This record gives sequence, C-alpha cells and structure tokens, in this order.
Amino acid sequence: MTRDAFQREAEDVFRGVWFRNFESISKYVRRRIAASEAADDVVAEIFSVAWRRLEVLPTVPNELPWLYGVAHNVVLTHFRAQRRAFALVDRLEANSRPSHSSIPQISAKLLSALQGLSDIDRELFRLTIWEELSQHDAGVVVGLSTKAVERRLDRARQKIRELCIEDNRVALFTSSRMAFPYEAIPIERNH
Amino acid sequence: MNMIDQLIAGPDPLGEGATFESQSSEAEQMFQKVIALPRGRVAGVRRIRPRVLVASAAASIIGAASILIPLMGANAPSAAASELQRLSSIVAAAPDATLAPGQYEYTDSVGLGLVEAVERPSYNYNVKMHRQFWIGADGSGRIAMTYSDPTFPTPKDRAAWVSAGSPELSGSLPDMQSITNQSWGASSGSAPIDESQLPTDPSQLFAYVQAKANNPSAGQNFGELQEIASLFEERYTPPGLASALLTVASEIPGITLDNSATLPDAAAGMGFALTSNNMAGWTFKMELILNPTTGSVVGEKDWATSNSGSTDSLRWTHFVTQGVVNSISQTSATTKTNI
Repeated sequence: MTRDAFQREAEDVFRGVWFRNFESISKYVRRRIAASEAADDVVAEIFSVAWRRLEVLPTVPNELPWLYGVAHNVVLTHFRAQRRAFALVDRLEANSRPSHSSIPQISAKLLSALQGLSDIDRELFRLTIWEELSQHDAGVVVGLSTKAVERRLDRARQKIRELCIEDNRVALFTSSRMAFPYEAIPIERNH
Repeated sequence: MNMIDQLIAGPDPLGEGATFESQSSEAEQMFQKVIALPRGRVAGVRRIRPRVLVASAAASIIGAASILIPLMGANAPSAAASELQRLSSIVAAAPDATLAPGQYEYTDSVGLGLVEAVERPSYNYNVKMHRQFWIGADGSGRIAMTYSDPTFPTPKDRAAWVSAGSPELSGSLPDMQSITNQSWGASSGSAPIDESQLPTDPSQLFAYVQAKANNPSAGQNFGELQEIASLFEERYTPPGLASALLTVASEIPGITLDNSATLPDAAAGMGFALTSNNMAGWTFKMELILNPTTGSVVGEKDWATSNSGSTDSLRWTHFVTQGVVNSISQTSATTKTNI
C-alpha cells in the first residue's frame, strides 16, 4: 500500500471517530469553556491528539472515554496557560468591573465545602451527570478505578449532605448557576 | 440524579437543546485543519518528519512569516536582540541529550504563585511553591508539589478575604492533596509537544509561537514571550530548537534587556522583558531570565507596577535544576540540559 493510500485510510478511520464523537466532545468543552472561539480551539486540539495518536486510539466503546480523558487534560492545560500568563491583567480587569456574585444564595460554609472538594471529585460528578458517563467510564477519563470513583462520589456526597442538613440550605440550591472554574486550582506552574 | 449530585456538578451550562453538528461547515473546516496536521507513526509507513508542526492553518504561517521577515534586518538590532542572538549561537552548539525510552526529563523549580480564590468577594493570595516534574518522551511522568506561606498581595485582597469570612487559605487549594504527588502513564493523553518535530527555521517557528500565543489587549506580544518560555520549561529543548527560540525572541518588538536581572531567592541572570501598556494605572512586566554565559534558562517573573511606583504581585519561578534521569523518583540528573 502506498503512503497516500495509508493516509486516505487513516483519514477514513479518523472521520468515523469524528462523526461518532464530535458532538459529545464539543459539549464537554463548551460546558467548561464559555468563549466559543477558545472552545473551538480546544476541540480542535483534542481531535488533533486523536489524529496524531490514531494508532493507539481504543475502539468503541472505549473510544469516547479515551477522548474525554484527552479533553480533560487539554481543558486543564488551556486554563493553566490562560491563567499563568495573564492572571495579573485579568485580575485588574476583573477588579475594574462591577462585582456581582453568581452564587448569592449559598452559605459561605457550604461554598467553602464545595470548593474544598477536589477538582477530580467535581469532574467525576460532571462526567456522570452532564456527560452521562458510567462510573467505569468516568474513571477511565480521570485515571481511576471504578471502585475508586464510587468511593470518591460517595464521600463527596456524604460531606455535602452533612453540611446541607446542618445548614438547612438544600432548598437554596435550585436557581443559581454555580461555577467552580478550574482557575481556582493552582496546578500549573506559578508564573 | 439526586440534589446532592446536582449541587456538586452544578447546573448544566449548556442547558437544553444545544447541538454541535459534526457535518456542519464549521466542523468540516476544523476536521480539515486537523487532518492537515502531521500524524504520529502510521503502521506500515516510513515516518516522514514534518518540516513544520503547527496547530494553526497554513494561512497563519504565511501571515506570521510575512510579519517576521520585515522585522528581520529592518532596523539595527536592540541590545536585547543582540544578546539573544549571541545566546542563540551559544545554545546551538550545546550537545544533544534526547531522552531514551525509560528516561525522563526532570525539573526542580521554586517560586511564588498566585492563587485566585473563588469566594464572595473574590480575592487572591500568593503561595510559595516547590515543584518537581518528570516527563518522558512517551508522555508518562510525575509531578510533586508543595505549597507554603500564603500571603496577600494587596490590602484589597486581604479585605476581601476577611469579607468572605476569613476561610482557611488552604481551602482554596482543593486539589492540593491529589496533585502534590501524582504520576501518570503514557496513555493518559498527557504527551507533551514533541519538540523534535517543531521547526527550527525562525520564521516557521515564529509562526508556530504566534499561533499559540494568547495576547491580552494591554500586553502585546506577552503571549509570544510566554510561549517561548513555556517551550523551555520542564521538558527537553533540543539545541536547534532552543537556538531558534532565542532568535524568535530577539525579533519580538519591544523586548528589552536587563543585564542584572534577579529573582527574590537571589538567582540572577540576563533578563529579557516586555512591558505592557498602562492599564487602569498599572503596567505589567514579564521577564525571561537566562544564564548570560550558557544561554540556559534561569527563571521567569512577572509583576505589576502602579503609576505611583508600587509593585504588586510579583510572581516568579527559579528553575533550580533540570536534566535527564532514569526514573520518576530520581532527582539527581546525570546529564544537565536546559538549565
């Protein structure tokens, strides 16, 4: 087979990957990155990884969890890069804007508890609720066993449930949009 | 789905009815861009090393090159450009130390980082960081970090923290425990950019850097300098690429030379800096600090200066050591690389 033939075959295989997963990956990214232009770049980067690594891409049904795993890393990288370069500029810009809270109803204690959950825990909840993944597939995305996912979800639920009961705040969680951006997590290098 | 799950996940930002068509014209354009990129090994096909590996379309390459070419030789080089070109020649002659299978590039760095806490109202604080990072050619690796000594960069941040109920500052580091010592395998999708595939032609590399740069309105070309710095960080930068990166840096408009740049931990070197436009009474400066003898990277810092001369939120990194090791637990490199 000639090189061109191999290239065409690879493109055909990749087009199948694209059709099967474009919508799911696009939704994953847009749920985490609001700016459409940046989100498009991230989607393209995710599929670029898949294209470069086509020969190791798992087949269905493991294909999408693998792509979500790549997406998880690319989105994190996006936020790290965005934040580390211009946090100072962004901060002044933010300070110059009128301040408003997107989470006005939640007690500081509960908010603190939610922020205290690890990002992996929150991501597991997002994956199982927003992306409707099974615990097994969510574990594939973040590199955990199904059992570990189950334990993490249970612990997080219990922690928040206790605070909900304590604060009697459950009824307050229905209307506001809560954002727990990756920006809160200093996992990038510090510049 | 129960209420607790919904609470933790948060409401779905997409809401109902959001669709993303894989066969839309926009999606097809994206698809064509992706498959235009060079791939990794294709079974049965001898790998042809691409001359350019870029995330952008060819159009942006042409556009950026057309920007760079007039810059080259248009004016007498600045002091910063002259020094960068001198260092470019030095690093070009450094020995190559490409990672073998089973080897890792190890980087040990210290510095000060800014944490942006999501509270009501929001505030920021600095933490000292010590970071160790191992990365193999296959993308597997490990990270180990510690944080300490939180401080507020401004009284306003402290006041906001008090208004938020003075929460434990470590509470704003939710992943501290899980990421302070984390390793990952080759199949995690974490493979770094294969720097051996990046162009060493300065015009092509400038196009790559420009395509990746994310520039704020107030800080023209900050993104390019940041991108160049990031290609030196925590990975092995082959001599040819390192040389080309410094050449590209020498072409960034407005870059200035600081012959005696220092970091707060007393590390010193030759600084190459960009200063932003004045914005709301502040200017921002970012600086890449190199060893003036070897051209290796000493560190980076960025800070803000008010119109009244006060300095705010200095953030910095000192790359203490970097080199090739044989495991993700080894910290003494036998072969020193970029640093």
